[in-house]
Amino acid sequence: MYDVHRFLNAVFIYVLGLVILSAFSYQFIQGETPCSLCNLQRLAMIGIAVGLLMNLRMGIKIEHYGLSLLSALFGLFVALKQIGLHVCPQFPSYGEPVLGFSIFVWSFFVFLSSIFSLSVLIILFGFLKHKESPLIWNGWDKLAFSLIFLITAANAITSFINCRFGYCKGI
Amino acid sequence: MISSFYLFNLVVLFLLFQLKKKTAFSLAIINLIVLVLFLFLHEGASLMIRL
Repeated sequence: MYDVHRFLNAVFIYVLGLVILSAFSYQFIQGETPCSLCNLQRLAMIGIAVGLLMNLRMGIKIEHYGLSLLSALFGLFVALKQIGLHVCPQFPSYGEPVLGFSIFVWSFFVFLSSIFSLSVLIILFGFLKHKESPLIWNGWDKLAFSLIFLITAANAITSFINCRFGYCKGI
Repeated sequence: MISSFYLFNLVVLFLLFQLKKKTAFSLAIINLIVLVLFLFLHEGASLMIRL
């Protein structure tokens, strides 16, 4: 059962990684620079992934889930704020919609489902007998870590090129 | 500005890899607090400009 828990954490990280990767590739395809609020949402997704990676690396602990949950709440707030801004009719739209929804609306769904999934994982954790988890990384765990590390590094480089030391343009 | 947050996350990931448990966790929490502060300062500044 404990291994299933680790497996679910790894799957969660892969899903988050793919979401950030798709947003990153969309940025290149459309030739648009991500706005400040979009970057904050990406950072919140990375924050969720960091909490889950801590579970894989240091053993499953409730405080790691707490960190992920706080990051998800932060991202949800930012996404909701951006949706609220774009609801105003005089406000200019930002970015092309994907499958009928803007990127920040999809991001809102991602954070909402992340909070749901994290809650389920915490409930599952409560049902398990607490034992020291082995600090051994298998290949999939290492791949998940590498994926998040590379995505973060790539975002750091592109955001530095686009925004330098100031704020990013657009909302 | 934003890129420094990504760099901060890279440091957290590196510490995680090095198994510096408490340092990595503390830095991750600090990162989250700074992000929240940044959001409020950013919004506060835009509100001041609008006023």
